[in-house]
Amino acid sequence: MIRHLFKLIWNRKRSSALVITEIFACFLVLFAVLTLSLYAFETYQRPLGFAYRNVFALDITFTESTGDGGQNSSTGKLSTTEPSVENPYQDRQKALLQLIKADPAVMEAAWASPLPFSHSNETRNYTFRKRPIRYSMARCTDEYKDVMGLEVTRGRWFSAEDDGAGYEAVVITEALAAHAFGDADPIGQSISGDREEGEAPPAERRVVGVMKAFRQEGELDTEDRYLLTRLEYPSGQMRRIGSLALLTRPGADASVEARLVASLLAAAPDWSFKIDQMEEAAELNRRVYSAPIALAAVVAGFLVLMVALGLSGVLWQSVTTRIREIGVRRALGASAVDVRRQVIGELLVMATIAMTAGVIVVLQFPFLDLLGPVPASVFFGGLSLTIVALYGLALVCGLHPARLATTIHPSEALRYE
Amino acid sequence: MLGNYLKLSLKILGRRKFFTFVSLFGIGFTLLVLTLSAAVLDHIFGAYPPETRADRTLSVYAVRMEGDDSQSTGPGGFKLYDQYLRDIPGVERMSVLTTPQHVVSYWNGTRIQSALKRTDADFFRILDFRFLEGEPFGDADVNDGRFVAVINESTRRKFFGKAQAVGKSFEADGQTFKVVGVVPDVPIFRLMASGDIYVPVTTAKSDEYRQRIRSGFMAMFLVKDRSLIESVQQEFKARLARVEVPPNFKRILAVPESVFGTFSRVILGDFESEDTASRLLSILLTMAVLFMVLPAVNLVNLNVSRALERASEIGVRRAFGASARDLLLQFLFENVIISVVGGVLALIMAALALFALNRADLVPYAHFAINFRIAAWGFAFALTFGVLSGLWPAWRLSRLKPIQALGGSR
Repeated sequence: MIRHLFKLIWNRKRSSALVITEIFACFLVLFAVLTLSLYAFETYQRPLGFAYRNVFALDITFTESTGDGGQNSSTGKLSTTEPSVENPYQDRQKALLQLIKADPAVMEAAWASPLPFSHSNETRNYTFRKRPIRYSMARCTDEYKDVMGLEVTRGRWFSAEDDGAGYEAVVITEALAAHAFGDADPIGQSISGDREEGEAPPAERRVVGVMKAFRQEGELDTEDRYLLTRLEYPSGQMRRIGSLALLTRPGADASVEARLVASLLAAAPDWSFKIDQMEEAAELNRRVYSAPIALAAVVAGFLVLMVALGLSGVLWQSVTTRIREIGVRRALGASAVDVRRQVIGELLVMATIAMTAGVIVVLQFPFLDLLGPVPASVFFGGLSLTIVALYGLALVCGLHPARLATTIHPSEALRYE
Repeated sequence: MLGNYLKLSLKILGRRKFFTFVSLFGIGFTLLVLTLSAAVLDHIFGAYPPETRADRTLSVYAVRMEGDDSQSTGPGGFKLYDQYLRDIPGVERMSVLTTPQHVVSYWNGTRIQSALKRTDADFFRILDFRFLEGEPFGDADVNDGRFVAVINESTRRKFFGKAQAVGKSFEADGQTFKVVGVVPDVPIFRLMASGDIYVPVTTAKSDEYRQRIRSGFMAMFLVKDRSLIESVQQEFKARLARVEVPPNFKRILAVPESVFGTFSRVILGDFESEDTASRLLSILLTMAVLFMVLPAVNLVNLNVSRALERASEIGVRRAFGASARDLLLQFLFENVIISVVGGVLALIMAALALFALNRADLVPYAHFAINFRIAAWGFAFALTFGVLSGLWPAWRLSRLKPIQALGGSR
């Protein structure tokens, strides 16, 4: 049966080649869109790691803050050469934090940078235990855990006991712990870069705790390797920090923002202040991240609809031109079901040929290690979804022409012009 | 003759309504997407006010400082532009402006967020703003650090409703500014020109910005003539080599370039390559071509199978003396007709979609519209489609021997 179908397809190879090409192109489009959507959905399902309800983001622009959308990147060893300058602002920073906490609507506040949803990204990448390691990070003061509702799953959150301890206390996400240490216990280990030939060992960055997750840009952010490092007021790092996160009582609105900004401006007239509600920023981010996917899905949907219409048209056409062939088959005793099976079977065989080619092309991604951050499960999930969807599509396209092929009586079909 | 072809084509299109619908759907939808993309791109990069002199304006959005083990990329500093890059031969005017700072005003109990740019008087001389009210601030305002502001239409509405704004004052970021002019809204794609509030650079809260090489500022250069662009870029590069960079860094890189170049640099997040514009352009073109593959195959497929159906008609025509060329012309004509009809439908749908998009206000201050240039492009697309998808089947059919065609079998 199958061999016979192949023969039929081969006999009409020009038009079959066109149909196969079309299904092949359709396969690629469907695969891209389905995998992308599946990836976004899978990302959305993962834990976010922090709570942003009722959290305000306060941005401060002053001389040393670099809140201008730049990117800074540095290698791991840089930390040794970074000057540990005195922080000339520490008294002002402490006073501002006190001022903010004194507001009745504010429950807790912490200095931190970059903040969630800030679109500013600080990444580190260096060699760790002879392997490249890469993660995003933020610096924050001790109160950050309570402001953002972080969940520490192992070890402890950093605190005053890390003051002047001679190492930099950091808390990392579970994903980063698995990336850097595998199954070993990360607590108490150093996550600093490897010492390079002829250079002083880098400052120790010691993992004191592991948190559930921290996806800075929200539910659709795919970066889950994250590190929070502890800010100390006297440090040179603290000198450049230009933002705070404020946990407010439910119901705090624009009037609270206005009151806070007014009192901050009165205390520091030479600095600029801006408050945003993280909930709004989160909503905006969700839209920014999902809009391209939605757009691609709509376009792909129409493309698939177009292909479906086109395929059934082509098939319909081929059935009408082959009415006499079908008449012969019926006259020789083939039942209506047999003929239907033949029409749909031909289409399914062509779909299979096209998809085999498609799968071979698409499989180059995992083979050449081009998947990037997309997990293999999502890739193969997308692939199987595409195959199922295309077979479904082929079936639907074949149904009407197949029925058409059998409505004509054999004796008429034989004389059909 | 043409009239005959037209009559024939319409007859044939009407005979098999399902196929006509499928073809129209494919052509229309493809053209719709292309026309919409073209409208958006045109809106972003076309030379519209205030960027009427875009063809001879170069801008610098980001600079990059490199050291042995650290890099810093982002907007340049005031000192970099002011001290090292002024008076480049061939440059008519130069403007230094901050990246938009998002400031918040609490005004009569509401929260108004605005993008504020601090700049100089040349900003309004390089860009061609059509002032709705008042006029730009001048050199004297900048030199004396006067708290004056030019605002856009939306900001005027938020602060003052429908009333006239010039002469009135408003508060932003703890400072009070007097409005001297009102300009139309500029979409945020226009990195240089877009903003809600423009004020003199000297109103900054601290004048420490004057000492910075890398933070917070962009620059625009109006070149005297397009032919001088390359020499200006050369001189720019030479000047950068002389910049005294901060400790830890060894050199500083930046490229003054066109609006599209600056935009592609931001979109691609690439501040290193010399030329990002052609890369973005090739990405866009590849996407357009890839997108068109499926509809084109679909259409060819349909055309081929439809044409076979008409074999006996062809046989009759050939038997009565029509040449292969006549038949080729006829089939091409049919395809062109259906492509044009699809194109017209697509343009109508695109107009409706853009209307909805503008109403939804998804992109701040964006006002997408189909213009005649885009409409012409749409028709060009439609015709290309018609010719391409009609050519092969038409060629095959016109070569059928009359007797073959009459027999109805291939």
